[in-house]
Amino acid sequence: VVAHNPGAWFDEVLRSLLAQDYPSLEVVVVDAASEQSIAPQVHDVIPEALVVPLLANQGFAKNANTILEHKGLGPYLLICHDDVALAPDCIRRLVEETLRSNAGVVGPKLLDWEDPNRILHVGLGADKTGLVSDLAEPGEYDQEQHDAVRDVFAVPGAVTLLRTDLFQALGGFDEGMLVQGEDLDLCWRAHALGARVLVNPAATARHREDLSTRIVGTDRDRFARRHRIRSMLSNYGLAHTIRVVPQALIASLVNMVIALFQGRLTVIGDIASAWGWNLRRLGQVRRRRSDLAEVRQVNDSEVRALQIPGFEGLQAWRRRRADRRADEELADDDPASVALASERRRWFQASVIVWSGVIAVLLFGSRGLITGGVPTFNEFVSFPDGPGPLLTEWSTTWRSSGVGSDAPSSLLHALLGLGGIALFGQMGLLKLVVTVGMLGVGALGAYRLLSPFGSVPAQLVSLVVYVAAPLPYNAIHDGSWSGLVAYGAMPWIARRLAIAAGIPPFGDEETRLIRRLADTTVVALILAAAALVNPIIGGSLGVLAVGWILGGLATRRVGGLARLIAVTVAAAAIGFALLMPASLGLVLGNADWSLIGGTRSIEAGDLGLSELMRFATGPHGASAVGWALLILPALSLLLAFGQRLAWAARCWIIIVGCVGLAWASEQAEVNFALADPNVVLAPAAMSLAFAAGMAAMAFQRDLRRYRFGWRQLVPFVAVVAVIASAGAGLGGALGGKWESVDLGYETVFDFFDNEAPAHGRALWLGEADVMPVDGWRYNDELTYALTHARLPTVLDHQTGNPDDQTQEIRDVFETTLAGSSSRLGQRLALFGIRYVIVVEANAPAPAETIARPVDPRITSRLSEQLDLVPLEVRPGATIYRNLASVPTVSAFDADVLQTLAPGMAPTDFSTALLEFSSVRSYRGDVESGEIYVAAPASSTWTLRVNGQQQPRIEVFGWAQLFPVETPGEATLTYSNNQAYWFAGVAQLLVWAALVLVLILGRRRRV
Amino acid sequence: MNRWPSLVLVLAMLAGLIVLEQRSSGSTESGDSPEVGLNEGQGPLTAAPGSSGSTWYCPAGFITPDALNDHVVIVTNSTDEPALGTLTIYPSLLDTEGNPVALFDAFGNPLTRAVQPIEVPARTQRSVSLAPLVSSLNDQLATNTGAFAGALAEFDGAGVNVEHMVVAAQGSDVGPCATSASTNWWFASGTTTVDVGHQLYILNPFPDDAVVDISFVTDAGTRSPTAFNGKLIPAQSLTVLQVAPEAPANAQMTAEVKVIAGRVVTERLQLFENEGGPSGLSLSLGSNRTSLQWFFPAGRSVAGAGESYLIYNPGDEPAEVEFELKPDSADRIGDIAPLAVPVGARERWIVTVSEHPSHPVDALATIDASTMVAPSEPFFVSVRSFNEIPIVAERIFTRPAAAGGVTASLGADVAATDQAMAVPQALTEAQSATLAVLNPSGVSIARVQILVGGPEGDELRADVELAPRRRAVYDLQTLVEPGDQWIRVISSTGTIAEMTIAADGVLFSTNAIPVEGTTSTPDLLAFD
Repeated sequence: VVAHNPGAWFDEVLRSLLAQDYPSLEVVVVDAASEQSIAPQVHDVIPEALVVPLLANQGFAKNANTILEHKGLGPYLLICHDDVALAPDCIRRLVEETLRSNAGVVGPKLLDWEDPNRILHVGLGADKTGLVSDLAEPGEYDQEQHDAVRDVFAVPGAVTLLRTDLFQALGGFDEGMLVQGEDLDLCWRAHALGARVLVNPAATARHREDLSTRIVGTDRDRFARRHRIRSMLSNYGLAHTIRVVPQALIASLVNMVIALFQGRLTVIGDIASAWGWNLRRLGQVRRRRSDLAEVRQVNDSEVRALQIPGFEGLQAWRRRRADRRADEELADDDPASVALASERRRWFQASVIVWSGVIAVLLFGSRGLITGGVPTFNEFVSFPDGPGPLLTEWSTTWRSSGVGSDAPSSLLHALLGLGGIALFGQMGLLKLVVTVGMLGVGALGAYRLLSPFGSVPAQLVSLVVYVAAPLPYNAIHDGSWSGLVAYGAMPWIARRLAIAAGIPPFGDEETRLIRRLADTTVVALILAAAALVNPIIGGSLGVLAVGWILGGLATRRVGGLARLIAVTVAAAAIGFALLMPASLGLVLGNADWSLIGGTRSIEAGDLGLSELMRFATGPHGASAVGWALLILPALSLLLAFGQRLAWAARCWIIIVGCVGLAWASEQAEVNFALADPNVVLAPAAMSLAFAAGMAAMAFQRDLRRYRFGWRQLVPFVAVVAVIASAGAGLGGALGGKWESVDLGYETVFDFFDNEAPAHGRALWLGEADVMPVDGWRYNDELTYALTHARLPTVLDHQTGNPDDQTQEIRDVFETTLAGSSSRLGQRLALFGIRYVIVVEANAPAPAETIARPVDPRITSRLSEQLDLVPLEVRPGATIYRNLASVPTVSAFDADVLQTLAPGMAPTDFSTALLEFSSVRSYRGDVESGEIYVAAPASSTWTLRVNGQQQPRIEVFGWAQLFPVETPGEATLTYSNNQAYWFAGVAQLLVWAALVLVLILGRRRRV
Repeated sequence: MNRWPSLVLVLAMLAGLIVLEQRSSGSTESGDSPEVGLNEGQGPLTAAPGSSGSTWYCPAGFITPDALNDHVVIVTNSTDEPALGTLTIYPSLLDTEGNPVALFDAFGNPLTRAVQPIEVPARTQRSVSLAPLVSSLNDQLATNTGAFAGALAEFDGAGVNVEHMVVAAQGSDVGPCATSASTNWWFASGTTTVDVGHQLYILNPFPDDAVVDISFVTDAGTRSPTAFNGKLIPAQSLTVLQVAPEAPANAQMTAEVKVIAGRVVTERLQLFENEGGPSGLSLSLGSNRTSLQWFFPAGRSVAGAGESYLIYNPGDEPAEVEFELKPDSADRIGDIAPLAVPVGARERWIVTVSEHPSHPVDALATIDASTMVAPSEPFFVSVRSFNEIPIVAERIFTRPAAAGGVTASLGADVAATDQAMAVPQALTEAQSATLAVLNPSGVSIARVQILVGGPEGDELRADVELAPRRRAVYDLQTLVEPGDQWIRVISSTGTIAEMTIAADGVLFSTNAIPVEGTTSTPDLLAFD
């Protein structure tokens, strides 16, 4: 008996053992570190019983295995929990059946402790993945219907009688299993040894089923999941492992998707963590497989024959469905119930069909990106090879943008790094998930958006219209990560904002303040996460609030407007706080608007009202069919009543407002950039889907108010319009890449990494629409950026305010090109600029889909520089190598630099400290002279030669050099700015704590 | 619930957007301006005040060790600070077949250029003779009977003008050095008759190789010699091409240099040695741009001299060109109706104002305009295309050797409010020396101030108001005093200044170099 803090019932358990009619019984009670010793209690009832105290409770399996150390064990062992009361003849009947059937493991019929007429378990079945199924329905009334001895795949571990030699041969229970699943695993291995596993219902026991709860609390499901996978990985031979494990993986993914739809996020986490837990223990699994292989007597095919065919999860779902139908049939006397059930069935089938279609279209349209990876262009920047560089970047306070500076780290790097770990370092997959995956996130959001209205058709229409909107596909075409994130996040923000503000039917004024605060925090979290990619997405909160307020006023639904304002302000404040300290940089000091609004050209663009209304920001939706998308949402304004009309009005105000904003930005009616239209139009696309849902509900509920007339024909027109617009969207899916580029800039810039990337910089110039890296505004049209001379990655994302030296570089660039000097390279040399790159297309030829030629006066002047030589690369970007470049870490003779004339470049130098692990850590041998470091002079940089710290001198008013008198081995390192570092850690902790609190709060509510 | 307020609000917002867009598109359409020019090239410009520096390309010149043939770089520093810079010399040798000869320095390394520092004191003109510098580079150059030598001058800061002069037995010529390279160069005129040496100097000072295609438009059609197709111009070197063997016996032809890769600077040198015909030396920077309008401020029909205007249309569409000659006496006798010159695609036409037997314009597409102006009547010329097809226009002057020789010069396509030129050394020996200042505007009166500068600074020597489309002409020998180093023309609106000097064996005509940022494109006016 394995006991741990047993309750008052334990006496009864012991007495049942004492009452056994089996003549030769020795009782051993394993006390698994109960808070109060149970030995006196045991000896009071069974004086001859042996009590084995354990110092720690190490789980049921390990506790039970201590019996193997007991000397003089008899031929049979009965292992049971401390909450089982055996019938007096239980053990005898089990032993008799073992002898009769030559069985290895036998279990009794387990009955409910309180009501012995109810069956708990009569043996267990299991499918190929180890998912168990009760052979009797738990709680089933015992009418002796299961009272036949039968072979089973496993018996519950509450009471297990087994041959001692078998138990010893198996090495006992798997001690890697704390609790849950060890019984299945033991029986599975017993099968592999050729032992029969039976249940003898003539033997009975009452069971409380609470030992595992006392051991591991409420996480039994989580343990069961991970142990099931462990059994599957351990107990099959190689051939079956290869066959079954992929199926189990797919089943897990399907489960996760279903859980996602159901909003059961903890299930997703449990499944992912179960696989992760097992992958971390592959060594143990290998040992167990090897141990089993040594004693195996029966091949897997025979063991498989004992398992449930197919997937138990699917069959259980079918059983539940059949049960529901049976219940409905029972209620067939009630016509309303029949109609309701019928409608539910119909819409459920419709949901399955629509969702299948949506998923099929999205997968089909993205197949080239899924199989070939997302190319590197514009905002679809390259991701590092693993999560390490991202986490390292987050953990440091040195930002390498520009000439470098101390600055807070970006939480985006930490989140992407953690995402990379969760995906086992598959950074290509991570890039796919955070970019193209936004299509699915947005679709799901659009479906869930209207769930409070209680209308599946409205949800489906909203889903279809949102997916049919060309916006996200144009965002993919444009390489607009911001646009995709805005698309993915918008329905979720809108839904949660409406709930927090208590706007009917999403909520009401009765909601408790703490709940409202939690919902507001969720809004802020989603906004802040999206704003990590592009801060302007945060502005969508204001757009939604203003649109909803105006819509409410126009429809005289003014109730809750104050709440909406309060929630909006609170969400904005919390979001701002969550993004601190980076958010402070956006509003304090000499912050540039471009940090928020981006650096797109503020010259007039090509998109007019006609294109923007159809969301045709690129090639998708550009045909006249694109107008069809607006028909159904427009009908919501004409047909809906009540809160549906109010919502339609709110949506249309946002649609027209966003289109107006995008148009004003595109046509240079405002003299500042306003992000790319894919971002600005995201709230409009969401509102369009919302309005379409309202129209669908109006057909359902409001159309009947009108007399028969033209309005009754409208649904047919709307259906045709939706089909037409969805069909047009389908056309865009044919290419498999949503018409994005076939080839990214990674093929052009990859040679950078072969040329000491930490020792050189690249100055980039081009329009923001085609630049593969974030930057700062150069003039009304162009953006410039300064990075290390490496393939731009997400590490270079979001550059922060340009420092004085970076602005000086811009000025040098501009004045040199505007003037008559032909030595730009010389003037940029001491900034470490090795390349000047002019980007004029979003991808190298012939893959480019967007061309943005730079002012020919600039390219002409660049080509006339005497110290810049163009490199032969594919057209699209022109790369000039600076012949006068000085490495960012370089060695000079003494006093050369301090006597250098302004604007001149030195000639005698060498690259120093050639070994580097990052742009913050260099190593190498140095001679006496001076080490020049083209980074802002700061005490955070230290040069040590032979372990001795060298003095630092500021040169040129910004950079630094270290005089070296004695040659030796040198290291140049950067030390974090403590204040910024702590701020970054605090930010991550706040996010983690907030997410945890929200999840726990939700669980509690559930 | 009443749906009208929300419906009206949404419709009003939509209507507002539509109205705004229509207004916006209307204003965009009215603001459209036609694209002009085949490329963005520009003529020589002095760096604007505040500039970080200036670069000047002087491709054409040849030297002999005895300096009888020389290439002289003339640097004028009109600022109050010494001008510091470098002079990079690009030597080139050709063998008897006209193929380049590889040069090596004292250490056996390839020698394509040599750099030396240069300093020009404040308010000074300094002439740097390349003959001794080139001869000192290596033994080959010191002992050879002659070598070609281009130059690149770089100066820190603004206020420096660089011109160059080529001196030979046939005479000498002066012209501004280029301040920008280009991918297209056109020479509307050019002679390859017997006894005329015609050389194209192609300088590639940049660190990457260039490749050019050169073709010629002659009376017999367009010729693209194989030897000049895909011609490699190595990085940081000077390439000299002898044109006559590839396109012989053309009294007039047009050369077109199209750069396939990289950028170059191209200049032409012609040596006229015909005893019976023109004699002299002509140095011309090619045109790296096309334009709708070209001005030639200094025109004078002189007996015994030849003067022709060559108009080339490098485009693919015919250009409707007007040739307007406006004599100074127009105020009294009225304007002369312009000539219509239909210049077809890739065609060249010649308008001859004065003719004499040795004037090298014996070509088919020639218009005689000698009756448009009375002998000795001074005038200016404007050549303009009215159908937005840009053209190139050049003028060729010929005089008897004793009274000058030959000079060819490109017109001016921009006016400037601040422009300058060096006082030439030949001024003291000149038979005639004039400075013509033209106000090309059709509407604005220009106040023009002529300042002449030297070690003591600038001094105002003339101050005049010019009516629209009128010019003023000054006798330089009166205007300039000994010791003066430069002439500066400042005006209230854009003007064009041209200097013409004629002496024994010397004839040149050169436009003043505008200061960057002070230029403007004159209005394209119809004949009034």
